[in-house]
Order: sequence, then structure tokens, then C-alpha cells
Amino acid sequence: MHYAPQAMSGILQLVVSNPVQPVRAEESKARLERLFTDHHDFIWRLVRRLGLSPGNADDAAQHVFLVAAERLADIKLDSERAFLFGTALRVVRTQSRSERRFVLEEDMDVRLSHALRPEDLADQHRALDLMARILDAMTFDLRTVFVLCELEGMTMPEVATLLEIPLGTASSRLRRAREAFRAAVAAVEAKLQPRERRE
Amino acid sequence: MSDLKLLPPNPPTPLERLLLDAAASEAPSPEQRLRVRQALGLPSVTTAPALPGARYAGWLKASLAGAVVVSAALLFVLSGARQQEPRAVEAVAAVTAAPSVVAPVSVPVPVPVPVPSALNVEAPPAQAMPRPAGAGEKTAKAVGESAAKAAASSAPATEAGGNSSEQLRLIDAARAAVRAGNVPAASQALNRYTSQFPRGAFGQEASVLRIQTVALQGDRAQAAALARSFLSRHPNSPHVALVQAIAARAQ
Repeated sequence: MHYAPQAMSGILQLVVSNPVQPVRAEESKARLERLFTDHHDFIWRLVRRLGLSPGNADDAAQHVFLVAAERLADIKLDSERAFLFGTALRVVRTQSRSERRFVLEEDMDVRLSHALRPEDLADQHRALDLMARILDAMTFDLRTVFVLCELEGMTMPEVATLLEIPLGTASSRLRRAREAFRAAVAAVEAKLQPRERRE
Repeated sequence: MSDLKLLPPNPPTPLERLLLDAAASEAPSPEQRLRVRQALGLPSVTTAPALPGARYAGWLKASLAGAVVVSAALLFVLSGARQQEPRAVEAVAAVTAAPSVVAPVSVPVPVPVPVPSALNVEAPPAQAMPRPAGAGEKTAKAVGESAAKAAASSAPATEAGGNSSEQLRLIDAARAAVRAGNVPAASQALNRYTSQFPRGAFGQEASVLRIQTVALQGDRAQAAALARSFLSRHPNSPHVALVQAIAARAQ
């Protein structure tokens, strides 16, 4: 039995017009294709490094692109990356409130004293876990600049433009983020060395 | 004039490099890329993904060999002269063998995914050119029939969770059938998907399509119940807004 779309009403219309459906216009589809190819991995890495678990990073990245698909007509051609970036930041801020993986410095200190062994750091997953905790210990603003500059390789002007902040502010945040990163790593190294000497 | 790159006075320590390398090596899975493409209605073809963290910069534009040597050296230093445990040996291999950490190697996609026939779309060229809207589109009825054929001709699956192309084909078939209002074809495709891939990569999408299918049948109570179940199981799903809307309309 077939159900004619034009005969639908209420919930059925909602089904037909749901955002999961493919964008029908070929031009929009081509644009979505380009958006996905150019920016999906960047957005996924961004939300992951800004604190989401891998599973939630998957959901968040998809959400960002579904929002972009819904608002495609409103997005200026030269603002696509900025739109995706801004949407991703909002999604991360929302999700981070419900998914707080660590309790910053105090928790990191406890974890390091009880769980970490030197050889563990050579394990990719544990290194990622430690890196996530170090990043989580930064403020959101510092972490964002650090991720964009140090992990995505963006220049300071690019970061300042993307975040819509003055260049000096971006530079200051990066400097403080680097200091925080180095201090956190130094703390880890300090905890490792005595253990090595004991052994 | 200030140096906007803020090059640090000292190079990264081995541990700093190791941690940054680890972070730079992370990338979305091929299944994630396919999932988003499918959710966007894009052809289910995959391109070589961009190297994760390939451009990570600042302190860290070190040589390929240097990264391997540093990682191995760090492990040696941290482990000291004591006898290595098997786990540590494995960790050395893990570090030195991680290509994405040190070299711009494209991550291979394990399963080539064909274009979903139900969507009647072609694999885009490297630079897809816009085409006139509606060009080459099938009618809703034709799409529904195509979806039914796709579901009916489904080959036996290898194992649950595997065979991404087959999973995508069934999901695409179900979606096309829902769009066409063809409830039997949608149900057939979804039944086949859930039986062949009980833990498939597109479980959420299948669940949403099931809710839509039930709604299309007019069974609002069941659609609402399924929607509530979905929301309780996937509170952070990107489909939450849609499912909530369906649940609200169904009540």
C-alpha cells in the first residue's frame, strides 16, 4: 500500500519534511558535499578535542552538519567554515554540561598518583586520556585557541578571525594556554621521575 | 614588531610531543563519515580522509623520523633499564607503528561503499558541478519501487555490524520508501536491516526510520512509544529534535 505524500497531514507531513532526508536540490547537495569534504574531519576533531567523548563527538559532528543542512540557504559562501565552527562550539558547550568527564586539576592529580605508569604513556589511548585531562584543565577559551593553533596548525590571524577576537587577545590566550600545557606536562613528568628512581 | 606565531623559546619535550602527537592522530572513523553523509543524503561514497592533525604546528613541525625516534626514546627513558614487561614491548610497537602520528598517510576505508541505488545519485566527481534542481530525480513512486527492489534483492549479510555497503543500501532503501510513503517497502528494508545487522552502524537511523514508518501507518500510539524509547536510549542523538517532534505530534 502506498501513501501519497500530498494526502498526508500533521505527523505525516513532519515525516516527509524531516531534516534527516536528503537535500533535494542538486545545487544544495553539491554544496553540502563540499562542506562535508572540506570540513567534516575538522569539526569532528574540534569537538573531540574540546572535550567530548568519541561517541558524543560523532553525534555532535553529525548534529553540526544537520544544522548546516537545514540552514544552508542562510549561510554565506565565505562564512561556511565560521558557521560550522560556531555551531560546533555551541554544541560542545551544551554537551559538556552533561558530559563532564573529569574534574580538572584535583581529579587529574588523583588519577596520576594512582593509575599512571611510565609505560602507559606510550599507549595511544592512555596518552589521549592524559591529553584530554590536560586540555580539560584549561578554560574553554584557552583550550580552543590551543587546539586551533597547536593541533590544527592555524595561524594567529586565522584563529583571531574565526573566533572573532582581536589578534592580541588570541596571542595572549595562546601564550597562556601553552604555559598551562607545559606546566601540566611538567607535573606529570615530576610524578614519573621519582617512581622511576624507586625502581 | 611582535612575532604573531609566538614561537616558543624551547622545543617541545618528548612527553609534550608524545601527547600532542596522540591528539593529532585522532580522526573520525570511516563509519562516522558514512553516517554523516547518509544523514545528509549525500552519496555513500567515501573519499580519502584528510590526515588528522597533519598541519599541527607551533612547536611540533618536526621531521617524520624525529617523531618516531623521540617516541621510542621517551619510552626507553621512562622505562629505564629495568626488564621490559610484555605490555611495554607492545606499547613500543604501537607508538612506532602509528603512521598517522608521523606521516601524512591517508586512512584507508575498509569497505568500498557503492552508490545507494534507492537515492538515484551518482558518485560525484572530484569537483562536483551543480546541476539543475530536479534533474535526474525519480518520482516518489519509482523511488519506492526501487527501494522495495533493493530490500528484496538484499544479499545475505556476512555478520552483524559488518558490510557497511549493505547496511547503507538497506537504510537508503528504507529512507527512500518512507519518503515515497511506501510503508511495506520501508518495513521490509528495516526488518531486513535489523535482522541482518542487529548491532549495525546505523542503528539510530534505523530506529528513527522505524518510528517514521509506524507513524506513516497511522499507529500514533506505537510511534509515540517508540519515540519515547528512542529518546530514553539516545538522549544525545542528533535525531532527538525530530523524534521529539514526532512524539509530540503523535500524542
